[in-house]
Amino acid sequence: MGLRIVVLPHWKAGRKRCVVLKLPRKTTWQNDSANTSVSNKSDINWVIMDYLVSEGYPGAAEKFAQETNLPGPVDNESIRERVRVRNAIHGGRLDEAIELINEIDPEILDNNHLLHFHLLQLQLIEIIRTILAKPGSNPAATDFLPAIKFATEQLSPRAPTDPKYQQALERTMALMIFPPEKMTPEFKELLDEELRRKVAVDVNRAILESRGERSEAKIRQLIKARAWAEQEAKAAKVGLPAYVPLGLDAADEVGGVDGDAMVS
Amino acid sequence: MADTLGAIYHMGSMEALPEVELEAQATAIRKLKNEIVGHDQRKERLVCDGVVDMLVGVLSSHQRTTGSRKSEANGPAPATWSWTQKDEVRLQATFIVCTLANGGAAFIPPLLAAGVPQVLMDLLAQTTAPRLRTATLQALWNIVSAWSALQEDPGEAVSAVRTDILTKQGIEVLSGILRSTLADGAHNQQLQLRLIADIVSVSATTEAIKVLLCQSPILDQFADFLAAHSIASEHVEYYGDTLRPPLSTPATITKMMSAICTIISGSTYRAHRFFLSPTIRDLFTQSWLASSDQRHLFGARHGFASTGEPLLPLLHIPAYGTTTHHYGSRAFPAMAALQNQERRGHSVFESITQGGDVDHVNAVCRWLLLLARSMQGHSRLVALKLLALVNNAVDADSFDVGHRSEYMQKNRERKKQIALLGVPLAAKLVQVASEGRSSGRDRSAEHDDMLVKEQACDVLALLVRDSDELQVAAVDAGAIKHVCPILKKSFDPVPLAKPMWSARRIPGNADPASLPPTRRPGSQGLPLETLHAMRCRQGALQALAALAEKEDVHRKAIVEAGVVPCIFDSLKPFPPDYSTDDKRRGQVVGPKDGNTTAVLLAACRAAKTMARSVSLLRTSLIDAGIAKPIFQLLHHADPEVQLAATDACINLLLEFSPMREDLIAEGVVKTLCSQAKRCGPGSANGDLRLRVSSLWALKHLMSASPREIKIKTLEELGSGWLIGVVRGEQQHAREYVSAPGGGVSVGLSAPNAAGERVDLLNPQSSGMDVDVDEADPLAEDDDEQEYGNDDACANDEEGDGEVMFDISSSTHYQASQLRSTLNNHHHPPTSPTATQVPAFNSRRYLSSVRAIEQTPAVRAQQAEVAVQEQALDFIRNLLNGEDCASMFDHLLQLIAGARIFEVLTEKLVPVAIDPATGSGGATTSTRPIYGPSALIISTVNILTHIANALPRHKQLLIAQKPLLKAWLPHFNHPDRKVRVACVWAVNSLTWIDDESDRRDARQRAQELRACGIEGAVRRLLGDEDLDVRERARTGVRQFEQL
Repeated sequence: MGLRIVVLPHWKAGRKRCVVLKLPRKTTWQNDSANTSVSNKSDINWVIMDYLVSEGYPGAAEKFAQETNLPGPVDNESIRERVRVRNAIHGGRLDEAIELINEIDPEILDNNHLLHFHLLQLQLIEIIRTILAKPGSNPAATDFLPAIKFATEQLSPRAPTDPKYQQALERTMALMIFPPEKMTPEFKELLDEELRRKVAVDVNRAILESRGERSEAKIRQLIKARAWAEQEAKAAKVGLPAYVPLGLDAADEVGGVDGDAMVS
Repeated sequence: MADTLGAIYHMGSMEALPEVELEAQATAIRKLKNEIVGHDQRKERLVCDGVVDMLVGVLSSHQRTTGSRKSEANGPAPATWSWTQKDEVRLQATFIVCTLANGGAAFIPPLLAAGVPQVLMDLLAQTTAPRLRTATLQALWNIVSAWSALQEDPGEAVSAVRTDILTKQGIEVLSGILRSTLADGAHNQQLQLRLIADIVSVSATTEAIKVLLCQSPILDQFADFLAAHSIASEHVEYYGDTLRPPLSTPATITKMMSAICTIISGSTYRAHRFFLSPTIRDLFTQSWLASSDQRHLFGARHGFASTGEPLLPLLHIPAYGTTTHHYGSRAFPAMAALQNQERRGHSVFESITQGGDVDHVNAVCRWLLLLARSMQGHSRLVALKLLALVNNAVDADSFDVGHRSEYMQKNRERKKQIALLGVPLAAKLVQVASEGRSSGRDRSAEHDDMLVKEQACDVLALLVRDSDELQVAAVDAGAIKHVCPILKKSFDPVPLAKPMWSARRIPGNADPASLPPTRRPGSQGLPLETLHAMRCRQGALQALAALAEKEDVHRKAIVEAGVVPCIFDSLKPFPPDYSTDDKRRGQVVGPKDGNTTAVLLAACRAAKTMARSVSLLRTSLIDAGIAKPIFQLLHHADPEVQLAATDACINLLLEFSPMREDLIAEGVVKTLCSQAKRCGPGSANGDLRLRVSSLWALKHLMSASPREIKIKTLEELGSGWLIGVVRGEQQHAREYVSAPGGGVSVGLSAPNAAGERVDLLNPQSSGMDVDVDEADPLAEDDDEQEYGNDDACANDEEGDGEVMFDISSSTHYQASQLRSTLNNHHHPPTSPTATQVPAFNSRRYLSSVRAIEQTPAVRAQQAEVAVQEQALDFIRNLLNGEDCASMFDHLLQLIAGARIFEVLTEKLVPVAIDPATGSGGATTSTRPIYGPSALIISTVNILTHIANALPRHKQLLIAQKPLLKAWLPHFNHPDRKVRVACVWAVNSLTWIDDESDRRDARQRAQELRACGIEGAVRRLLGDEDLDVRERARTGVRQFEQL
């Protein structure tokens, strides 16, 4: 079985690293005619460009544009805006993130109450985190006053309108009760920085949506479609190999297969 | 927050401020913005603190400085613009307006009180910075959308508030932006386009605004985008060079279609204006290289094959059979000879109706079908809505073209295609809405689903209205099955979102009235959940009303679905203080709480069409007790609701309706009479509609009801009033006709009984053209000229008048004469053949459509004729039945006999003498124009009833020489119903009641002979209509027996 290898450039910290997307070129279970949709080189490049733009990699996008002779991202500034928001969220500077979002378009948070609530919740978590992180074994009850004040003013008005707000608020407040080492996993995950990343993705999507753009990179849709197709095919008992590698894992990276690498 | 506000205030006017302080101000406002985004309670407090005044101050403070840039604003934006601190301040202030308006309906009264929309419009006219422009449009849109939710509020005080965004200047500004975005298509501009389309589609609620929009280039611009989209998506191959397609995203196209729908809804003319707009004409005439007309390729058989392959499923629609025919059947060849003479009436219109370009209309409808098929969800729904509006407008305008089979066939093809390809799509969307299937999980998909739920039924109703064929198609596609659950579901209790919590008690202003209006938030209006349920309910009722319009089977199916109780529940209005009652927040809205006005209207319509079934009237409708709520709605404050309730009453008052007694007991007679009398002469059209409906209902009440009721009703109306109405403003009508120059020779513009709209050509010499173009307050000619694509008559003002459809739907017997007039006027003598179609002139055609629809005199006349018809029929039903003689005696007591006959004669004599001077001088005689045949039928029927009373009444009638003389010409009326009525009346007159009457009867026959009526009856023995012939035979026999 031959695989066409497509190497996605992935810039990370300035160093070029290759991720390979292997597309089945000719297989036993299908004609190649069905497989030509993404075969065009510039199509692939476009998909990559789209990924870089919507996920917010302005520098990479520019360089990629130069290398592939694609037109550069139309609106570099808007990508940078999103990067700033993302960095602020990743860095735990939620008030800054909120202000940046409001600068881009106040509609985003004004209409999407859930997203706003998540951001405020993160901010509350950050406040609690700083209190917990203070030197000294046990923070005094009064130390939590700023957190309580923040919760009262920012989060609680919305809380009774929907059970999901209420539950989120209650859990967050519970962080003040338990010492970190005795927390159950469900509370621990609130302090986990993964939560920031999750919210950042939501925010990125909301900003894209507010501009009337696709809220998700095309490549994600392609991969989803592929997964769906695989699932459907298996359900329909088509003779499919047990494992069709997607090629995104480091394990099956470049080498071995006699593919025609398109970008390297 | 109050401190920030104070600080901003303190800084004062922006004019004087140095850059540094401007920056401080910007920072302060930005801070304020960050405070309130997403916090509705803070917004409210801020408004109470007076933020609105501050915003107006900031936004309008430096308009003067930038005023000089106004001229550029409409042109393309300059390539470079520098972002100043002032811009920044304004941007932040605009953001605050956005955010406040997002807070909901409560914030609209203070914003409007401070004139914020106006300030924003001014700003929009001056600014060229894309960012600021987008923000301003966004703010306007937020205001408008909150305002539109407020419009549905049952409270009355708020509904009077207007936004005043779409003024003449406002529309110009918007159209200027559209033009500049046509130039380049950055994606920020897509957002602007969407916002403009949104603003237009939501805030164009009144007729006046729609007219303004139609006059502005905005409608054409939207049409351009739509056409360009089609070219870009390769629906049509386009070889013309006038269309430069600006790119727009599918979402933008949807919004634009929805804006077009809003603009053209409610007017046949505007719909024509849309599909005859130059680019859309171009789209279908420039789509091939060959110079010949290839539009048949868009036809059903070729499936819209402009690009080579069919884009629509191919349909073979067999040629229109010749079996149905107004004037007898062609299946009997023996009749063919007789029909020849009858065709005269129609040969007249053939050339007139060339005006409508049926090929183009069909191509447009197919194109819209294609658009609908290529889209999904809400977009598809909007495309179908546009299709429905266009199709309905074409139907409303398709004059009875005689029986030109080609035209009929093309119309039929269009209908069939919509039935097979369009209606099922709509029904499918209704199904999706009813099953609550979701198309996706992100926010835009959810929003899309909600819109489909609210509008799917409405669109279906619009699509199938007035056409039984489409109604059957909808039901075949399962419409009833899916609509009914939506209606039922709308009565499910809705849990409302709980109110927000606040740490502080919100400082209740002791006396909110003491605050200035700009600081006083209004009521929140109905909760969104309730509004959603109301919209679904309204749509479902509309759909039911449309489906039950014609077919009894459909009505039965609707009853079997068990929704009659829902219709009953939908007839109950909200209690007046419902929405202001804050205590309801957080509770569950019960199904019986009430309904918005839109729901009431739809429910009345549904009740009306359901009541058309006799059996339902006697079973399910009486069981549901539908009469009582309808009677209560007769007293509703909203005139539209009153009208709809009166319409619904009409069927409930029929002779065989079991609800008649109940309604009479409730006092319906008094109510209807006072409604009929309420509007004085010369009042607005709407009031006349109420008068027509009320008289109609009373007319039904008169038939076969006890003598006391009849007498009481007549008393209530007043015989003098009744006679006045019958005579109507005939005087006025005469004035219309005779006034030199201003003369609408359309004295008589109503559809006649056969449903014909038109049949008389207005001669060139009448002042019609003047009337259309100059007396018309709308004076649209400037832009018509600008956008008209015709060459032949772009210059001549008379051109419009020449083909003015005149509407005296009645008799003018000199057929040959008329035809010669026609030929002289409209065909060059060299090519007078009827088959040769003159080149379609869209501008001329449009102006004729508009004249029919909008000339005030024509419309007033139509309304007047409808009133008179009902009044005459009222008298007719009054005299009908067992107590005919005594009722006529009663009438004679109230009104002097001479006066009655005088009025009746008035209805029969010509309304005007039209000096038909042929341009060739061939014809010089005058041509009388008679009243609409509906009035003549009613009048003659009254004569029949009088003739059916006692012998002395017959004698009385026969003694009216002027009446008989006026009556005579109508024996030769082109409408068979008139002829039948005439012969019936003669038969009654010559009837011998008993032996004592024989001598009188003979004398009557002699009288009739003397004035030529007997001869007229004899001539009808050879009539083409079987009914007429048979009645005439009886008549002649009776003559001979005497």
